[in-house]
Amino acid sequence: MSDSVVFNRRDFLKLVGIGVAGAAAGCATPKADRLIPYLVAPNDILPGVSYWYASTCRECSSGCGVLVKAREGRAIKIEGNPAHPLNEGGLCARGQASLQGLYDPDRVAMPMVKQGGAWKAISWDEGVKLAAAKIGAARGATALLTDHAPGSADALAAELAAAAGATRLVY
Amino acid sequence: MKRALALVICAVTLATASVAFTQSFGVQLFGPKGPRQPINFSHQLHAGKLGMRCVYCHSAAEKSPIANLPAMSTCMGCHKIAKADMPEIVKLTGYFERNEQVPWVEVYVLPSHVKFNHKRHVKAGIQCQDCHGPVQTMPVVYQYPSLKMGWCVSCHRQRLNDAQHPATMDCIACHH
Repeated sequence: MSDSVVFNRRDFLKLVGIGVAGAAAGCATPKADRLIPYLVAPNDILPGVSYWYASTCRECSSGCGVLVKAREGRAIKIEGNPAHPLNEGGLCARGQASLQGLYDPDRVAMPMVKQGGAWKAISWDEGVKLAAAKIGAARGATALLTDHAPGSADALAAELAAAAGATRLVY
Repeated sequence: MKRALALVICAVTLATASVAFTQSFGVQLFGPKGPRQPINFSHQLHAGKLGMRCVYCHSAAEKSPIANLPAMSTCMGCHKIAKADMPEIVKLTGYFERNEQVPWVEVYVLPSHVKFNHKRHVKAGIQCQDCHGPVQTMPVVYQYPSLKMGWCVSCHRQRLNDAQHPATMDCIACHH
């Protein structure tokens, strides 16, 4: 038997172990990306092509004209509308950032009720029932507070306030 | 004896490492090329044997920068009836009825910092197969070209003086 092995058996096995673990960890296959198709393709959307919609900024009561860039049905950028008489293509930082509000993970997306100082999400059925009961009980002593709602949303708010016998307040 | 043992262990380590290494950039050592898809869809059958045109399903290829995957309603257009009892079609129908999208695995991965526009190339008369290879013979589709810059440029160079659609060599044409 020769003694020409330079490191002893234990050290050798340790080194081999480290080598294998390193190779396996460093060369692990990255998870393949998935391509998700439409379930039913919308007629008016071409995948990969952006569409621009003219709209109105709702971040303050000025109501600047905006152009919204949308891809596959999702808004991805907002710019000022050059043809709008008020802002003539400009858009302030808040208007630019309104897209962040749209996709804010903390955005309130369902009715919530305060229980013991903390907000708790409830279902729409529960929420509507609860609101109806409270408004009914306080008939005439309620107010509906909205911002400058545009067009039909304004009419809807006015009708809702009238039906509930509430005072309409606009800020 | 010790030496023989050491050699064997070294060989095993090296083999493991090389398998892990080749796997790391998507080279499959056994089985068909290309990733395993959630449904065993065959381009060989659809585009080859049945002779369907590519744009029947990938309809945006000639109209948009990206060649889309067909909507599942496009699949169901035929498969609501055609071969509806085959196991893979039953899988497809299952996804569709559960309102779930099939999570297809991406086959073509374009390197970072480069943009590719399908519409421009199709409009200039480039055939799908010029880049994607003989898809109509592939039971499982795999990435045919390297999609590396040298591969793009070699074709652009050849068509620099094309009478109708001269190819560009401008950097910003792709890197923008």
